[in-house]
Amino acid sequence: MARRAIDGPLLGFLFRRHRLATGLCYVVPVLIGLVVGFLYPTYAPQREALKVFKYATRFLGQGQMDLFSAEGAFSLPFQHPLCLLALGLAAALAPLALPAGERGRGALDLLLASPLERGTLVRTLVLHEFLVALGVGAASLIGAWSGAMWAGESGTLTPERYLVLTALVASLALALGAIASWISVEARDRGQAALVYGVAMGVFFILDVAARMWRDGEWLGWLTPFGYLRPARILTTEDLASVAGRDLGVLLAVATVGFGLAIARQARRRSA
Amino acid sequence: MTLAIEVRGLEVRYGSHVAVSGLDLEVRAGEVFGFLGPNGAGKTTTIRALLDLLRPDRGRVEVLGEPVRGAGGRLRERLGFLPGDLALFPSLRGSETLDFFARLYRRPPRRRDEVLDALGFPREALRRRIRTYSTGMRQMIGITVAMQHDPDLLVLDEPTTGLDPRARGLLELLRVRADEGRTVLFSSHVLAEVERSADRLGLVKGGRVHLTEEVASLRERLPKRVRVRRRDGSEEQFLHEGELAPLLARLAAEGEALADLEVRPVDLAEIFRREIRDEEFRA
Repeated sequence: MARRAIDGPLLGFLFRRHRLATGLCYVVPVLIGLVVGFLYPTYAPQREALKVFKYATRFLGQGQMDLFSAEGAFSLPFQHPLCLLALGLAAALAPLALPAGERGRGALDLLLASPLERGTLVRTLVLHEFLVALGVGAASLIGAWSGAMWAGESGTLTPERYLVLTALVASLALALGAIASWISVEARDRGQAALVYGVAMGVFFILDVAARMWRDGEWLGWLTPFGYLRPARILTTEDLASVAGRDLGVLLAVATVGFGLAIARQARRRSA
Repeated sequence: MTLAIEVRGLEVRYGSHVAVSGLDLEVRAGEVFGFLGPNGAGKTTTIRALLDLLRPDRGRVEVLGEPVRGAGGRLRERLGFLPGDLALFPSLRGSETLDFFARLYRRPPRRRDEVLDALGFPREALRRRIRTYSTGMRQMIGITVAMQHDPDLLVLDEPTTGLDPRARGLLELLRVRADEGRTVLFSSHVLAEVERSADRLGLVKGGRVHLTEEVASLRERLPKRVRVRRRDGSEEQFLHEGELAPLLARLAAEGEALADLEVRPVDLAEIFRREIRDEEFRA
């Protein structure tokens, strides 16, 4: 009998087990998009006034958001802190529960005493994370587009740039899922895994905030996965292909390394 | 003689603590093997090594003729396992739990009904979520998970924990399995259960197998507890080892002075208490 790359019953179990929490995480960017769609028309006077100072917005730089333009405002579902928090949660739900959570509860022994192999378990988790990440990206895009349609501004958004943003958000979710998976493989239980993941997320957030706020600290953004999701950069760059390629490349590389470590370390663990 | 389990020189350390030290174990195909020992003796560690859930520092572990390390799913679909600290998925219903594990094992659950009947599990409860189950009901589901796909080797760590006497039909079921050529290894603290259902037993003490013996031969060489009551009201109690005839001859010489005589075999629990000086065993 050939070894299985992916275990179907386990994949179905993972989806079923986390469907409610993951669904709630998907709702956040959709809601943010709808709220922006509702509020955007009410800022028409401010937009008119700002046109006078249009030159001033140039000083905001590529990394900052112009919330009074339709493109800028409707990119909020891709970068609002609540959306990033929901993204980080959606990415970590399944990895923190399996293997770390089940290791701590004792159910991992029951799973791995079956024909389910250690490598298959983690590879199935990787596929689950990939599909969850696609959902996170789709939810952000749906949020942005439905908000823009409500505000009657969908015609002003550039589809190719929003698709790049969707891919970036999905890649960020995948990268965070990979980090959570690696942490989970190493941890003794869910509590320890959640603590380490929480600390890592906190450090990533602080680096991102510092990179955005400190004029000379843009390089700090390269040290955190969040630094590779800069909607303003994607929406304003002249060279979309190279900027998007670099940001996507880094995030997918982090995901590949993270998942690779998770698979290798789980296979080599002394205790399941 | 075909061996279902063969362990040689097993050594497992947790830091500086040696949990299992040079343990050798042989379990024959088609027998029920009782795995005994006090808490911390190394039973669960050995069982986890048998299933490749724990990789030993040293030693060789073969199950159903194959080394467990690297055998993967092909070997494990022929095994059934009940962990000592059973944890199921609380959000799943009983029936969903059984279906999920049946799919993981890739074998039809042809023994499910038989096991549930033997345990006396109420069928209507299969529709309820595991979180609503009592400890005993969870244990029954765990046992069914281990047995429903009719494994060639069944490894049960403390299977009767939490089960009420009605569910002790499990022990008869284990015997039936062995009679069909399946192998069963189960650990227990309850020596009466081992005495009743096992063909052989192994006693683990200090990370080694201290004693391995057929239950029947152990029973034969058990000493007898003798209680003699005399007409003058005096009473004498002692353990007698060896043939009974000389003892009876000596007592017969007392003639009319003897009022009553009781001779009964010592149970396993008493023997093991003497062997390992541990008070954990219950008769």
